[in-house]
Amino acid sequence: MNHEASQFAQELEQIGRRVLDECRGLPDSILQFPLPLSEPCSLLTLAVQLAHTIDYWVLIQIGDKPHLTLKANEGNSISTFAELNHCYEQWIKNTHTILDGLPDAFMDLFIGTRPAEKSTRKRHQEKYALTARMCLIRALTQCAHYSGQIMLIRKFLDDGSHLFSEVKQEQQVCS
Amino acid sequence: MGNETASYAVVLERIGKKVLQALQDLPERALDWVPPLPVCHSLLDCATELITAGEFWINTVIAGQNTQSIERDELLVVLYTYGEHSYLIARYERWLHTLHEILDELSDTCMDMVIILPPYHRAFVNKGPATVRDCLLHLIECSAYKQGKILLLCQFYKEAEQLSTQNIDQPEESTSYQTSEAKTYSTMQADD
Repeated sequence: MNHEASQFAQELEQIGRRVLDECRGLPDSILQFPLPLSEPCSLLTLAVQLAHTIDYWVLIQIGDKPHLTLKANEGNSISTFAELNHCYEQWIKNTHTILDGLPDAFMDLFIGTRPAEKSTRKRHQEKYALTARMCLIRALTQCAHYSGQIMLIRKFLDDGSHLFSEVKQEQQVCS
Repeated sequence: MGNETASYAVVLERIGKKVLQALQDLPERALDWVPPLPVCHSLLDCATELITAGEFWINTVIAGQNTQSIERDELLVVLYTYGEHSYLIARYERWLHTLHEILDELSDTCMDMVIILPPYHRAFVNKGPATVRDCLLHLIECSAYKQGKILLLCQFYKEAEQLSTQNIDQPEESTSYQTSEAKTYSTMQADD
């Protein structure tokens, strides 16, 4: 039977790979395309936020890793799918390295109070201590939340391109 | 209640409350809004789907209960009498109540207990026999995924409504522009 922490690693990897699949094949300009919202977000920014979530909850809180997948503000430098893919492969590898060997007894330990200076996700800092399990549940919840938004945006983009191709076809017929 | 089950209950409750709050912040008509996408449901349907999934995994799969009960008829009465907001609140409150009723009774030793899943749902959890923990992890992921979608759709609705309000305001602006233009024109005529 799998350890509890390694189950989380598998779930997180599945989410990460699904997000990569959604982004794969899209031109970089579409990945960066900001949605017309008051707080502009794009597929790329959401995907990078997901990577920051892993950095904060898994690498800092549980792994206490000095070297993160994304150093502070490094997320801004990710602008292509190739860079995103590399970043995701890195966090998936790091996540398995940290979680696969974690004994079940570790899950109830209070650990989640490590400072977040290393991460850009300061808003996630907790006022109270969290167990390793709570940190992993937070990571899972937030990653799934981002993946839901990414899938929805992808759906909007697909529908848009579908409409665009219909218009193109109509134009061709007319000409 | 064990530490592990308590953690799952807290997270599921938080997701439910967050979604409910976001929907309560919208006007009642927004619940019937269907995003302009193929195979997309109304916000009310999306919010209901989230609880239906929770009821399925917690009540049916883990607790082995039958979710088809008289309470559902009572909820429909709330829907037709008081409207969709009240229905959602009642539905979420009932869901959170049963969620705690079931998970609060579970000890951590139950988490590794193997559960027989209906064939269709076997693919959704990890390979091998599914445990209570597998089901709860799947439910949390599934609920958070739906939460992400619903919150983004709420944001789209709010911003679209703001835009349409601005568009309604625009003719007034043009009227005032015409008025000032007319004033200028009448002033010019007076000067002549």
